[in-house]
Amino acid sequence: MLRLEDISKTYHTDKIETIALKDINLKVNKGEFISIMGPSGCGKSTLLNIMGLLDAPTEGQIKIAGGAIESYADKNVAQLRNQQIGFIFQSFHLINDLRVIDNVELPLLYRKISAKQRRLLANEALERVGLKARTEHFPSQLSGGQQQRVAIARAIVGRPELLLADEPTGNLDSHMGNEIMQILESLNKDDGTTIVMVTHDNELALRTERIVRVCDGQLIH
Amino acid sequence: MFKNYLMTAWKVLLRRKVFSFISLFGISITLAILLILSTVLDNFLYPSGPEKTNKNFLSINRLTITSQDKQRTWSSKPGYQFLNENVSRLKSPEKVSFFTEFNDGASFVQGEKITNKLRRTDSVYWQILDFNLIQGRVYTTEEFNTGKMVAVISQTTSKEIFGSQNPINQSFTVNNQSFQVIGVVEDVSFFESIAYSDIWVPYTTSPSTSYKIGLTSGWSALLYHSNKQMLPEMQSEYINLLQEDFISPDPKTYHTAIGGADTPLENLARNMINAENYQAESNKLISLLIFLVVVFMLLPSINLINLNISRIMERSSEIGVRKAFGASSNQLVLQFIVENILITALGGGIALFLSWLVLWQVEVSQLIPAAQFSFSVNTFIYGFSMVLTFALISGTYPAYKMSKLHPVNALKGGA
Repeated sequence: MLRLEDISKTYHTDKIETIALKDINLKVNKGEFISIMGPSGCGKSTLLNIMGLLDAPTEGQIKIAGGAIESYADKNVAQLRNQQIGFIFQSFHLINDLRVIDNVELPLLYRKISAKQRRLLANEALERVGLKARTEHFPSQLSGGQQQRVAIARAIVGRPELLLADEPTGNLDSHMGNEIMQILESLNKDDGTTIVMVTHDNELALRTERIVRVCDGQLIH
Repeated sequence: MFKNYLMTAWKVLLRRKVFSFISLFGISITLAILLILSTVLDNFLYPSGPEKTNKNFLSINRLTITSQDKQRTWSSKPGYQFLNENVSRLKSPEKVSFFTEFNDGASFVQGEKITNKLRRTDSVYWQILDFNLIQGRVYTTEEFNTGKMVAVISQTTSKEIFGSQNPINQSFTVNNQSFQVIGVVEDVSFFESIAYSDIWVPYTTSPSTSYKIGLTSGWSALLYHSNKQMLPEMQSEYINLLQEDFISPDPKTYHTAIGGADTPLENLARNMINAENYQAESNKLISLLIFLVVVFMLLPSINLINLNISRIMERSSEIGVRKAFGASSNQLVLQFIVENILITALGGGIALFLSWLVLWQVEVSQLIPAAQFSFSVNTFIYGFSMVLTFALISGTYPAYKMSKLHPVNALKGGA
């Protein structure tokens, strides 16, 4: 599903070179649910951003669904993100000015899909996360757990094969965190969605199929 | 997709009410002023009164005469002598009319002095211009030739002098000359400078024949052809006449004649840029007007650019999310421009209302005599193109800057 080959990421600022990732080789199989763990600042999020094509590696190659990323040109990666990847963020990142249903529809705006079809898919996604009754609400009218469920609905509405979740339960209490985890597990088991989750929570990580540990920008085996 | 864009734009507008108000205020005032000016220009170039026939005539309104030694120059409206000895020899026009500019004409009504505008014309004048005759008739060639003391007056003048009485065949005195009213026409807007007046009389009724002398004084001529394709030919014939065949009463003193037979736009250009040239150089005027409009739009645009950029910060998370879920930079540019068009269109709507209000007040208050401003299709076209230009000037740069945000930085909330 996803393959990282010799990935390195270096930041240059005012003559200081910061190595964020070094020689990462990682293979994520189709239908797998893996978690990435490691101390703060070790490069977990950078790794996730590179997997999600939000950031380009300084060296190395990424293969998604068999195809290598040849170019990080805006149009090319935008389309790949739209078709193949769904994102879930720690702080939800919902657009507060838009209703729940419009937030969920957002990824479909960048596809050639009719408004009617968009609405249908968005409703289905909201039903999947148990928020069918909240379509007309605005994000600020929902609890943290509900907001994250909207964010999950948004991430799965385009039926991507790969879900990338950056500490999806980090802003939630354990009860709500558990609910979110259950949804992710169900998406993985029932729908076969490949999930990569960054987390600090050891208990949650143990519920995934494989734990990848990162330290100082390198994978620990 | 556009619905989503518009909804976001509307919410953003409501979120920062003071900023939105300042933006809208700047946009509305700028566009309102430009709309007023363009409506005035539109009414000038495409009049709805007697000059609506202006596609078929040229006017000779300005003449520059230079002495042989080039030491002396006269530049003003042409004089009767010049028109009579030169312009009357033109072959290409079907009709040629000579007439004076409008001057003050004093009348006394029940001992009280009223001042009106008086213009002296020939009878062809009435054939070229399309006056709306309300009562009676205009003077004939015979009446003109014989210097009959007849007058055509405007509706308002009729009310001023005769009240509710029927003015036809009644006499009145203006500038110590007595005239018989034979016709009443609808008031003419001040902007129709060739037709505008309150009282029109044959120039053959002038109190003395001194008007016949002089190459430059307050006269004008109209050259008419029923086929507007003939206008360029009339223009070149006139210029050719000035260059090759100018009849001067004193060739040493009045040696060279420079001028042109102009369309309304050329006429405006000749008067505004004072082109003492054969060509009126209306291109220069158009360039100047476009330059002024752009400069005038620039300030509120810069203001809007500033406001728009400052909004990027608070919307960086949204940009990050949209990018993460597949929006390309071009799509984000489009979104932001659509948003900007919305706010500008809103300002444009307010501007349209404001300019209508101002022009209506100008009409009602008679600040400009008999002015009538019609909002034509042209006004909407001007307004729409101005809104679009404004939106593009003020929206493109911020949109571009916004779209170039790195998604990871944008999600972190930094620009």
